[in-house]
Amino acid sequence: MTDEIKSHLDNIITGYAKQALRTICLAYKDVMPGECGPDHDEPKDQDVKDLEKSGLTMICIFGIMDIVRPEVPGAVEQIHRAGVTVRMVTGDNIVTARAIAVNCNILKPEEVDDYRCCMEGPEFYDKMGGLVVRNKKEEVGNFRVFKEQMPYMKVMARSRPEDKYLMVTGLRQMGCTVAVTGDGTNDAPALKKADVGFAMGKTGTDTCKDAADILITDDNFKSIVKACMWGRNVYDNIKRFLQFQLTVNVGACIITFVGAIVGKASPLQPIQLLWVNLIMDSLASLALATEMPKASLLLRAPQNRDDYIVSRKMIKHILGQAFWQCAVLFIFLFAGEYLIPESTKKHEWPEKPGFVFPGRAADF
Amino acid sequence: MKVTRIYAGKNIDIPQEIDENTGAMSNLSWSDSSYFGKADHPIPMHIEHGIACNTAEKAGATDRAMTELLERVQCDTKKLCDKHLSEHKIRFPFSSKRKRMSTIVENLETGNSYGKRLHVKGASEIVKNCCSHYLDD
Repeated sequence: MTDEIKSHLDNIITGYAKQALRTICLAYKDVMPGECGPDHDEPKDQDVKDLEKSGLTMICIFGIMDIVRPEVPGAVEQIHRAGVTVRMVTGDNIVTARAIAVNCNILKPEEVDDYRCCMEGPEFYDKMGGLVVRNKKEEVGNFRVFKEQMPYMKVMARSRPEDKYLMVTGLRQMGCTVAVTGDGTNDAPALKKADVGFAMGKTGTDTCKDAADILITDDNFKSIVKACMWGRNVYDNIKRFLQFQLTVNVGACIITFVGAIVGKASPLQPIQLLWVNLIMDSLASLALATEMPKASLLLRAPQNRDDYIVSRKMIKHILGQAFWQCAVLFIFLFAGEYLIPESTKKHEWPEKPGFVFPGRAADF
Repeated sequence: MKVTRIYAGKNIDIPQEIDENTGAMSNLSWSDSSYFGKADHPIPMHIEHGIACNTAEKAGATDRAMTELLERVQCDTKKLCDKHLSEHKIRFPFSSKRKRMSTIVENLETGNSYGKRLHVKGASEIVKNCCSHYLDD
């Protein structure tokens, strides 16, 4: 094989790769006696590794197309709008990886020629200074470079397990929430390290399924978008539940406290408070907590890792609502006898009108 | 995944037609003029051996694309494996560090008294750099 042929083959490979084809080469070699041990029965690892390094005869190069599912570019766009950055980490060569990334909408056409967007795994590992352990915590060796690189970086080609792991470690060090998807055994360390690991249910190996948190049973990227939507929905439902519960309870506390100080007896009897808390609130909260996800959940940015679950806005709402409720209840409680006209037919009222009224008030 | 092209001295496009009767991919024949032109061409034989004997039992998507190609050319992979893969075959499974896998098989064709052949399959630019010869069309 001359250099001329080698460069011709390079052109062929690049040509295939540019069409988003994965290129696989088939080669053989007739093994001579004495190579790789006397009878090949007990070869040492290193022997075969040396054997497959040189003197092969090339048979052919395959161009293998991985058909991008039609829904994938849309799903990537959707999750991008939701404030999630999608990065592709693959074992393919950089030209194929770049072409596939463009087809999947991960790489914008104007980013294709940007050298910062695509990188090969080993180069990435060296540039970031590898993985170091500081204070018993795994960190990126050259964190400053990592932080500068990450906003651009979209595609990592020819990656090894340690490159994936380093990327996840670094992103977490930056305070990002990281989800990793994978199907191979070599994805397992990264899946384990990530905040959320998604494994492919159909094609994934057992090792990667064990390391993951969520199994995607249909192996579809669209399901990840769905998982994101459900995650946000559950979080929102918890917030709704909390807001409702706290509003009711702040109101009830103030009424009971003020009522007990000012009035002769508490306006709300213990049994009424229990009724409000256990029966009415639980059922109402259940309705809020089981709300289904909406597509609009994916139109806003994700919340920060260390945001409070009861946000500033929620506190405002809770206090505002509680004070408003209290104000109305106090008006009825203290001025009710002057405001509400009473019936003259006394026998039509229940025996203890005082019991009915606070119940109504609590309902209100 | 589907094999759509092969380069073996010349570029060969693999049609992706689906047979209307069976619903599967249509059958191909190596001896077709658009492929190798004759039935006893050595390249198809090497391709068949290389894929049939050098594919892990638990094949990934890429491996499956290539075995599907063998199905389309009606290659009897089981017969090939029975003939060439001895009981204690020597296989070095794919690793993402080497980016290739290898198997040593019995070589009955060449009359080599020693009779062993190493098949390598893997990422093209890496395997290519290990090649000193190539099969021409």
